[in-house]
Amino acid sequence: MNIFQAQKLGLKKIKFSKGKSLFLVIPICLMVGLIVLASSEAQNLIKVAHSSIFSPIEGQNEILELTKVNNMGPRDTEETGFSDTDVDTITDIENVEKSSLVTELPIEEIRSNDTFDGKTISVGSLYGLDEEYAKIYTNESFDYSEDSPIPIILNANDFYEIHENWQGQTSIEISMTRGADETELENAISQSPINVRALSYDRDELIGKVITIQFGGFSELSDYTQDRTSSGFVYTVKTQEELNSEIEARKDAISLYWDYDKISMPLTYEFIIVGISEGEDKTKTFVPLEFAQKLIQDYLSYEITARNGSEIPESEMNSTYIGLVYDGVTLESDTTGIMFAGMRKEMGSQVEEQFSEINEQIEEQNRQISEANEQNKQIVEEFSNERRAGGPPPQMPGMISIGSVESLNAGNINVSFPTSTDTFNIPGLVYAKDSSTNELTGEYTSFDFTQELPLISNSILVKINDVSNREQVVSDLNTNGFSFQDYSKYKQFEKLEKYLKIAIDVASIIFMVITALFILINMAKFVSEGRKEIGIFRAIGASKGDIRLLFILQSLSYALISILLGALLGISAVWAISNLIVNSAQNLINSTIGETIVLSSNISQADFLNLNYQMILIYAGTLLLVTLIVSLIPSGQATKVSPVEAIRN
Amino acid sequence: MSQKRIIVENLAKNYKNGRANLVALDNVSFSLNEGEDMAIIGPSGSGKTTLLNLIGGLDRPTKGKVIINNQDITRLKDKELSKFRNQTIGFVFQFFNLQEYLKAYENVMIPMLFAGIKPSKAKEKAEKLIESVGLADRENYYPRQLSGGEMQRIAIARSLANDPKILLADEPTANLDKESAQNVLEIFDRITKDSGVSVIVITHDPNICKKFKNIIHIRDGKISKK
Ligand SMILES: Nc1ncnc2c1ncn2[C@@H]1O[C@H](COP(=O)(O)OP(=O)(O)OP(=O)(O)O)[C@@H](O)[C@H]1O
Ligand SMILES: [Mg+2]
Repeated sequence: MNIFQAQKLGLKKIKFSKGKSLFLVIPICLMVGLIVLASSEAQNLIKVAHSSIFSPIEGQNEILELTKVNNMGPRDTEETGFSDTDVDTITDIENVEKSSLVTELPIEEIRSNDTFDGKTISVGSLYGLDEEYAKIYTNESFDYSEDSPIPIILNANDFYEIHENWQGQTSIEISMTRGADETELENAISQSPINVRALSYDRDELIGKVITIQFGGFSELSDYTQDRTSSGFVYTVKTQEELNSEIEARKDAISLYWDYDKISMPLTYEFIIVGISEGEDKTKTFVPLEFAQKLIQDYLSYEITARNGSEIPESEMNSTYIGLVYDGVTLESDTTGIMFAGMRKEMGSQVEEQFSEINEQIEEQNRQISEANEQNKQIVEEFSNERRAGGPPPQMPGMISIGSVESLNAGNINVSFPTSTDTFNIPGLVYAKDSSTNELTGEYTSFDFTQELPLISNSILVKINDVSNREQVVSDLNTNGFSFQDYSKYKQFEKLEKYLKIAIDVASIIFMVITALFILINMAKFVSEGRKEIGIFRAIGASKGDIRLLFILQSLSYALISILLGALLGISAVWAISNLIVNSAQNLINSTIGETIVLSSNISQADFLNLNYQMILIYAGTLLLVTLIVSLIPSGQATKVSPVEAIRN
Repeated sequence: MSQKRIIVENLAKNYKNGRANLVALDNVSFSLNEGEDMAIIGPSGSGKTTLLNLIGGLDRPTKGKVIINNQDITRLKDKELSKFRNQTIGFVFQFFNLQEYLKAYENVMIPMLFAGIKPSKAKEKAEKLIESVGLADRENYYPRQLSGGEMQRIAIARSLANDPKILLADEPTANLDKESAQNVLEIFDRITKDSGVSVIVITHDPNICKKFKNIIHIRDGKISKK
């Protein structure tokens, strides 16, 4: 007897006693169905989460953005920017494919109103990027040409909106001690009337969209204040009067030296979105290098033509009007100046007055500076924590523009931080800085706009040859003195993904073992119930091999039918409940990661209709193999049945 | 002179029941020619079934020989013995022993499938055999749709599937009414005469016994009368 005939016989037997067969088939069928459902949906969930959190262009995980953060200390303490030597050092690191300096445009207030309907997004940091790197983010052309929309790679982390909910109150107090722990922070954030909400977006819809972006002008004044109290924060809504008077004050102050209407009017350009930079660790928006130069030139020359002719007195320079500084070498944002302008001045006069105690005083200054630094760090940390968990975003350069005056009483020096109401960031304003004394020497208006402007490169893009080497490259960067913290959730997510896969595998194995036991027990039952049949078959000429074959194929027939029905069941279950899953998955993702991470796409039911064919095949194959192995024992038993005893009436 | 088909020599079978040693068959010798039939009669527990099983190669004797077609089957290995049962012997049982999940013709096909005959050929032959036992219109019936006599005729068709030389039947008519029993016996008779098959039938019924050329009486494991 050959396999096919034995198989046919097995199937006939199953078909004949359908009721009995169902008892066998149903449990295996259910288990197979469950596995099909679980493994398919787990895979779908991973995929959905993956494409929601990370870029569908996996290549972006091969990019590290190394950015030198503006140091918050006095501007003369440390150099900003990277050099070619840094690039060489990084390029020498193993598995680094290439690395390049990139240049941030020192432009404040970059906004788009039409990227998302009815919502304004701010572009955090804008960089010029060459064609070669652009390929990592986009397949489209990254060429700049004057008469068509300029290609731009937006950053998904800029896609958020600030949501205010005052619950009918005008002031909300939140208790939070400095150095609050996680739960305290969470609690504070949940009470905060100010929330940041990530805007979800459909990558495919955004790409190819033509948008306008405004550069410069003045930011809208915040319509609330946030102050530190002894026990935490207090948020207060500004009255319309307060707000109006702030706006008036700003207008009056700026009108002294500028044509207010002109300087408050931003420059507008038309762009076409060609790519989205995605990932927790990504902060940069990119435009073509050529356009970057043009933009900064437009931006600066615009400011020059917006002056009304009056000269800014030195006393107001840098303490009231903040802009850029040019030290003869590089042109950069004066963010350090904002923070310490006032402080430097006060300390300076103190030093002069107490010349005799100069050494002691210098020490004191240093201590205060480091203390101030410490405090800044803490503020930055708190804000970035809040941003992460839904608090207001850090308004670079001005977390100070939130408005509270932090008084620092250290020794006999009283230092006040400037606030947004008395400090004005003027688009394109450039001060000349004496590089030897670090003093601002006056306005600088004499750039040659036919020349490339000397922008500082504060970032390096590092391309890793393969994402699997990311950890090693990050670690090597740090040993080479580039302190880089990998904020990408990529690694964690990989872990999560791995655990989910392991969980499914473990479940499958458990199911497999149960199924195997089930088959074993049932096979043993077949044999004991089939003794008579075995005896008759032996009497009419079946060899032991025939009997073994019959029994194994009978089990395999059961397994095959169960698996087929189970797969069918699983597939219908996937169809039946994908609707349910999509809703709960959307809720899950929104309520967890969705609050802090910009999601690149909405989840649809179709995402949960995919079947994990690989797993289904592996499971089915393994199950059949297990059935085969397991059925060897009882079928061996069957061959030992003595025909004489079996047929004795 | 017709050839000796079955030679049984000093055949003995003991069963060990704990310490007790039960002699089921004690030094039985006889022979049977091809194309001859034989009835075995005797009281219950006398060893009739034991003898038949030994002849059919279902069991191994404690002592003695069973020579069939000049070959001592008691020396055959399990695999050869299976083939011997499949090719040379046809069994007919008291309770028919058809597979309830198989149709009549499929039941008849089984021994041919064990013999490695192609299913299409086996089906053809099964149909012929069923026709020869007069049940052509029942070939697609399941056993439970058949009467006892019909089932037994299907079982006989099955026993003839591989053109056996010997047909062994253990009380084939015990569960049948008179008419059916008669029918079965007629078929046996025809087989013996037409195909030269040697038929051995166990029976309790002296009337049936009379119809056989050879009769052996068994009592306490011994042949009491030939
Ligand atoms: N496997 C066995 N183990 C022990 N004793 C057995 C076994 N098989 C048969 N016997 C004994 O051998 C003796 C002969 O049994 P057998 O079945 O040959 O009788 P039988 O003549 O066919 O009787 P019946 O007419 O009732 O069928 C009986 O006493 C029986 O109990
Ligand atoms: Mg008997």
